[in-house]
Amino acid sequence: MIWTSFLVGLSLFPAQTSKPRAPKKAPSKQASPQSPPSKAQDPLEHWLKKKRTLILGISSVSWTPEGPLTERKPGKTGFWAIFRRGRLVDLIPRQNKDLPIPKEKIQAKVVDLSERTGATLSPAFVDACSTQFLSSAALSDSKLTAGRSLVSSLEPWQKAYRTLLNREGFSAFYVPGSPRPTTTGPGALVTVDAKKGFLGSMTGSVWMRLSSPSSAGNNLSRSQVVKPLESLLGKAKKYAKAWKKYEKDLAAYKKKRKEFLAYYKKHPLKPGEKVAVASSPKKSLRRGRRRRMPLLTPELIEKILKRYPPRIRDRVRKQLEKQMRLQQEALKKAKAAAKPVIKKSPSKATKPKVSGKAPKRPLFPKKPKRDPQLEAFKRVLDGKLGLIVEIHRAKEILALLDLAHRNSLKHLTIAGGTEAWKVASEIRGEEVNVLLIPRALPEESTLPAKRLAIRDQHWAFSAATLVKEGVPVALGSGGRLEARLLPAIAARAMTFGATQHDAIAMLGPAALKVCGILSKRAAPQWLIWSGDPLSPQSRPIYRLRRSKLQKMEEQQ
Amino acid sequence: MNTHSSGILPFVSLCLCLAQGTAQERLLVRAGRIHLSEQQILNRGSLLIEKGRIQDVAERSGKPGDLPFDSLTTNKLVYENAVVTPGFIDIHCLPPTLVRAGELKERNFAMTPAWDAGKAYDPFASYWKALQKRGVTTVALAPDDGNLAGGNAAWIRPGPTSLMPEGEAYLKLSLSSSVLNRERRPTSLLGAVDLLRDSFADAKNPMKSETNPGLRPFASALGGGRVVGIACQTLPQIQGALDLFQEGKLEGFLIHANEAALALPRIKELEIGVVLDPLSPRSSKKALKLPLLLAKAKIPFAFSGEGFDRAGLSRFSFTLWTAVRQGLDPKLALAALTSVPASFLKIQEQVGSLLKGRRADLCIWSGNPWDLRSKLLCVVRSGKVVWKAKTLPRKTSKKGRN
Repeated sequence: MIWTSFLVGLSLFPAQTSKPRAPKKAPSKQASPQSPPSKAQDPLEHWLKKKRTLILGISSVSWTPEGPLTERKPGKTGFWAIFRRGRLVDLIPRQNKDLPIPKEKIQAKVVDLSERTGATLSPAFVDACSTQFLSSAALSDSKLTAGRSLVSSLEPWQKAYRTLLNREGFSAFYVPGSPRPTTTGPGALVTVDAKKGFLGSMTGSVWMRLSSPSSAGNNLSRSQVVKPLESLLGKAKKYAKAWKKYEKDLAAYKKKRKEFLAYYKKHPLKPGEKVAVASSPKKSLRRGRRRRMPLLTPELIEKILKRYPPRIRDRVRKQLEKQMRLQQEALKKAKAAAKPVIKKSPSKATKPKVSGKAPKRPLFPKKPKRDPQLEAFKRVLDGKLGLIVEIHRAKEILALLDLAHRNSLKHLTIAGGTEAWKVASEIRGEEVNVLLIPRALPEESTLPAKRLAIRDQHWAFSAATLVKEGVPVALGSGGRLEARLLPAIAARAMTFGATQHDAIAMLGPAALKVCGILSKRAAPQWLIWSGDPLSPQSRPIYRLRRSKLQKMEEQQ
Repeated sequence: MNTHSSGILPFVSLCLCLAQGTAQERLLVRAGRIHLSEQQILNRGSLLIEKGRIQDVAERSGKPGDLPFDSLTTNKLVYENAVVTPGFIDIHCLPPTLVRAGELKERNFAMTPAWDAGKAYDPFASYWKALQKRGVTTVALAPDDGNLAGGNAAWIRPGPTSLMPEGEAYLKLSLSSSVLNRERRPTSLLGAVDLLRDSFADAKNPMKSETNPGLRPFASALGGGRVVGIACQTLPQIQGALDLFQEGKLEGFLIHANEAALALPRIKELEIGVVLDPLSPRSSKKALKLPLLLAKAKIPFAFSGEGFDRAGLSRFSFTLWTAVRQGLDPKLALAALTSVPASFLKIQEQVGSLLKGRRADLCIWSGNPWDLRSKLLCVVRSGKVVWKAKTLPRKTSKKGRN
């Protein structure tokens, strides 16, 4: 009790407050957040002696990251949760309220919240598809295509997030881009704070809409839905190739230019003398693609002749045999003309060669035109950027998975996914994530909805089915304030067999992966709830930010 | 002797048959917690149901062998950890199929006070089965908001087992904007209020009300003779409705009164109730706060309009969840779907609670009904199981209960 009254809300950094700051040293191995205590030492004692460490006394933990912490069981009075640099690094079962070392020796900050019955540590919720902070202009902008920066379209002064933060525990919103264009993004994960509001954003994935649940179609056309993405990826590949070629040409150009300059430095131009210019590569006169004649053989000729009606076969045969003779002659000539190429060993000297013959002035290679959209898709192909594809039907999803497999897409997410539950095992096989948007369900009376495989309490059922199969699932509202539906869906998913761990994960930690937040800085934010976060009667009471506890706004 | 024995045997067998029949009509419900009414909650309770009504209620001590009513019947519903609540009541039910077909609205005439919504009731419609699955055991099938005087809302226990409406629920009037029509009267809110005021004034005159059948519903409502429900959304509409309540000394409630927060003192003064639309993810801040404000002002309120939202969740379940999450007392939230609508319809002696003598309409939940993590396990209406979940819910893992 003494500890509680003394330590709650107090910063216990005696070294920082009383002594002047020591010059910064290179971080030692011990100072790393993950450095574990030695086996002989009491783990709590170890952490208590560490500076810049927050030790929270709590009753329970609703979710823990995968690893050794998942197996920790609570003690008689709950847990000691250890935080360093905003990350949960250890969970120690708490048997009593006393601390193992005297308070003079404590370097860490200790806050005991276990006095509040049911204080639960839980990751803050994330709305994985939101329009929070998006300007009204961007909402209706159809030109905000993929590759264009979203940052200028965000309005940090918007305050609609407040109720969601204070009452529902949402501390981050993923804004995928403008809802109008077919391709948009990369999106931004916006983190918010009770005091400062908009804290900043992290880059997410490119968004592409391929279908909607109400889009008409049949089983033949549905596998063709991915064609636009396929074509874009093809273009992006060509684009990447063109840029690679350009970079290679540029390197060659720089080398030649060096030689050229070195030559004329040694042999200055005489009056009236002109510099020879390298000729630009000749363009092929052939327009369009022409099929090359295959190498004809008697068997092939017989095969070809079967396609022709019998009465003209003799005439065609004569023509083909003539062609075959010509081909054979040309081949003989080519073989005779071919000479063995002697490979030159690369010269060791890096200095430009100054030969006796004047080099031609090299031409600057042609630079391909910049295309932000293809640039973004090039990064998607390289695995440096995630891709979220809105797609709904099972057949369409299978076609997308096939495309992802062929192009080895690394960070792919299916958004919408109304029928994703039907192909859950296939999705898991391709390691694809699913982002469910509950509002995407069409009206029950419409014809496309009747053809959709919609189940009772569809989104809760879908989420549970996918999670049980092992697919990472996140929930997105697709709007501003509709996010309050998401905890309800997650809670309902538990009646279909999802565990509480899964339900909390789909509201927060899994969202980072699903939205393609690849930054190493990305980690779940933490909240302290008055009870179980999925219970309607509990409220978020504290928010943890950079190892500091922030009290949430009082409920009105 | 023979004559005696031959006379006694049929009598004994008749008695046995009757006793067996009575035992078959009995049902025992044993659960972890039973919400008898808003104030009364039994922990480890047992309910004895006979002939469709609650015959007796008992609390168990938890000691082994303490099983009240156990020997009286073999029909048992035993859910030791479950929660039993009264069946939900939808006080303003507009089935979407009937609304779409225009069967609850008269397009050409604004005044249809003698119209009876019960006549549009189809007991075999699939909608009722879906409502049962969500725990709704009683509804008031109401006329659409498109008519100024829509007519009688009918009290119905929906489903194929109840072929006829149970009776008249309330007189439905509407001042909402959908009443106004350029092609017929009324064309404005003032005109609408005036038309209703005239009707009530005419109904006061016995000469007129006896000769004009259209005035009889108005005459019966005067002085609180019959419950009146007035649909109104905005503040001017609410004020108009409150004027009518005051002038005619009517008894009843406001329907969809989303801006009731602005007229709380007057609503309290007139002692009328409020029927709110179900809460949804898109509900405004005002709509979310309104139940709290009404509870604070001690104005009785109920939720109506069970259906299926786009996420496929039951509207009542989501409403309970949201209202409790906003800070409303769970008991009050539950009462807004059970005892309060029953008292609005003046059928609180029949349904809305599980006290002795009430109809045995109840829902059995795996947990608290306001928690979406709990599942509806069984629905009983008039002592008969009308819906039962196929499988028991999976136990929650211990991982989350650290």
